[in-house]
Amino acid sequence: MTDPRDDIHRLQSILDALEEMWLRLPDAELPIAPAEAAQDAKIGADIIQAALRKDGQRRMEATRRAMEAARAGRAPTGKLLGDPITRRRLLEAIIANDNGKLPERLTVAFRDGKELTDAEVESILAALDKLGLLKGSGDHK
Amino acid sequence: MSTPESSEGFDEPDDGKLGPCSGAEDKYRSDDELRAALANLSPREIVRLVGLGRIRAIGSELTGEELFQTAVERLLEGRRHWRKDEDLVQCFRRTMTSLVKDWWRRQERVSIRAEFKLGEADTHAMNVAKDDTPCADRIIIARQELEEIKGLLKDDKNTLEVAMLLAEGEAPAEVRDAYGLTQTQYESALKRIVRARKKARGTGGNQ
Repeated sequence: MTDPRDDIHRLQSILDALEEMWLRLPDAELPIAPAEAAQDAKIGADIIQAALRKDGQRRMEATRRAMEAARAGRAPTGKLLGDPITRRRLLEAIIANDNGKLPERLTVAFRDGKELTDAEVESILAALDKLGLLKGSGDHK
Repeated sequence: MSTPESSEGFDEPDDGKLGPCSGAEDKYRSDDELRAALANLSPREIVRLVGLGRIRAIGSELTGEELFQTAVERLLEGRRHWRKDEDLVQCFRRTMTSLVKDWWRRQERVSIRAEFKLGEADTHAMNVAKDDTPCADRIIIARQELEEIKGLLKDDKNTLEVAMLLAEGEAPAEVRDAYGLTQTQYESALKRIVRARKKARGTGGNQ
């Protein structure tokens, strides 16, 4: 009995040969009329242009989402703390008023007058914010 | 002619092997390379790629345009990949061949689900249980295509014989040897098959 798949394989074998021929022949020998070739070139170019446009929009949207996500990730610090001076004052206020919540080493270092850079201040506040220690702490809300 | 609106129905992964996992940068061209190559295709190259889609779509229910569009979109979406060891034409050839197979696989699943009133959730179990017997539609369409080719070539005995030898799995060299054909004569026979189909359908496509 004939395997029902045979007809599929037979057709595929013919298509493989047609495909080989289509790829091997020089442009001038392809079995396609000039008008038909012009039409196919237009159809193909339209498909490519539309796909490239869609791809560009998709990438722009992805970039926008990534930027929003990055902004959202920085928002707690950015919203709570404006400039370096404000940030430093906030940290001083927390140490003065809420030092029971803070690691002793930090308060000792601060009291000892250890110079903290702006970046260190920001980093400490961000860490405190993550720990929820800034909630209700004075003027940062 | 307008471009096809949708390219649904090609949701299979690239055989699970072609995705850009570890070491992908060594195997695949970058997105930028792909976009640049697509944007710089000449009209002649586009004709060749669309024509390739038309040939590969024969025996499916897809048009050549739909297949070409889906290939372009899947490549740009990163769901199919352009290997470094192939040119763009080879990439399209491989991608479109794979897309047609996937399209049939999907049709076969839909057909089995409908027959046994299964839901989407049963797909996994169905995949495990299913053998690789193609669905009836696919067999019928292939048979119709073969019969059409035979009918179209009934007055061109030499070309018909070339087509039937190829259908039986003979390699091009064996077909040429069997009939003492030169490469040019062999290719002329293949061109006559393409032209006969186009003439019968009144289009360059596979519709």
